[in-house]
Amino acid sequence: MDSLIETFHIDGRLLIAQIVNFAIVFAVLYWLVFKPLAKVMAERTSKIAKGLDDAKKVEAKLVRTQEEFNKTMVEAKKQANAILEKAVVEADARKQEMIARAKEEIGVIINQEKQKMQADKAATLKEIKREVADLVVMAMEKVLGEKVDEKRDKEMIKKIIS
Amino acid sequence: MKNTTKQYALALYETLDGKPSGQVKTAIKKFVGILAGKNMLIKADEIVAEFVKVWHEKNGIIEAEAVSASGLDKANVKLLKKYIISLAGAKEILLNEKIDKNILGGVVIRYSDKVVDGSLRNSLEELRDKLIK
Repeated sequence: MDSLIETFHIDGRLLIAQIVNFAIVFAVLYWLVFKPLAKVMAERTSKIAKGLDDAKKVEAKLVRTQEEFNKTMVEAKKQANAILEKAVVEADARKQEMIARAKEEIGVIINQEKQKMQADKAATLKEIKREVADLVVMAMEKVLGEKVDEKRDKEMIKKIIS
Repeated sequence: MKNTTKQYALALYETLDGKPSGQVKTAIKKFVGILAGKNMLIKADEIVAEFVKVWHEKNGIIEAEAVSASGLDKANVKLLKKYIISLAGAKEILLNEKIDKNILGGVVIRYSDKVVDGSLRNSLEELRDKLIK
């Protein structure tokens, strides 16, 4: 031990003084630097941990939100599809209804036209008949005017009242 | 209440009905006097017309009109009166004859509110109707 102290020229008092110095410096550093630094580090670590935790929470929340969003989207798509299908069905029904109504209206118009044509035809036929009847009566009048003389008229009257 | 012309006519008929011809003139004079007393002479024509109606009605007399195109001979007039008597159930017919060339032939008889149209014009109109139908 002595040889070692001699070899390295270690002065015991100096060493003690140095140890004391070191202890003082250490203590000063500990109280003024290490402890606040450790506190700051601990706070920082805590903040970082909290930040990481928050980030995890946010991520989890984001995932949930995404899931909810996806669910909502799926639901919305379902609803949109249902609305679309309903709209298509309603449009089809309306289309069928319109077609049926159009057919009905066309039928009514055709019937009206048919009736009008028949009425026109009947009126024309009646007019022709009337004209023919007038001609026949005129011809008959002329013939009767020439053929029915006083004698025949009296005979005719006699036949009527006998 | 004021009497109507028909009531005067009925009164006159009841007065004259069944009276011998000698008393008729007196009754009429008396009736005219009553009319004058009631200021009804102005209605005398209407009363006489009503009286004729009442007289015809009570005695089964009917006024008829016969329209022909060329007139009626005596034989036809006789037959016509007989025919109208059978139709109307009257005792006597007062026939008024008219000539209308427009009926062409045959005869149109009108009595009371009835018309028997046996004219050629009517036959032609019936023919026209049948042709049109």
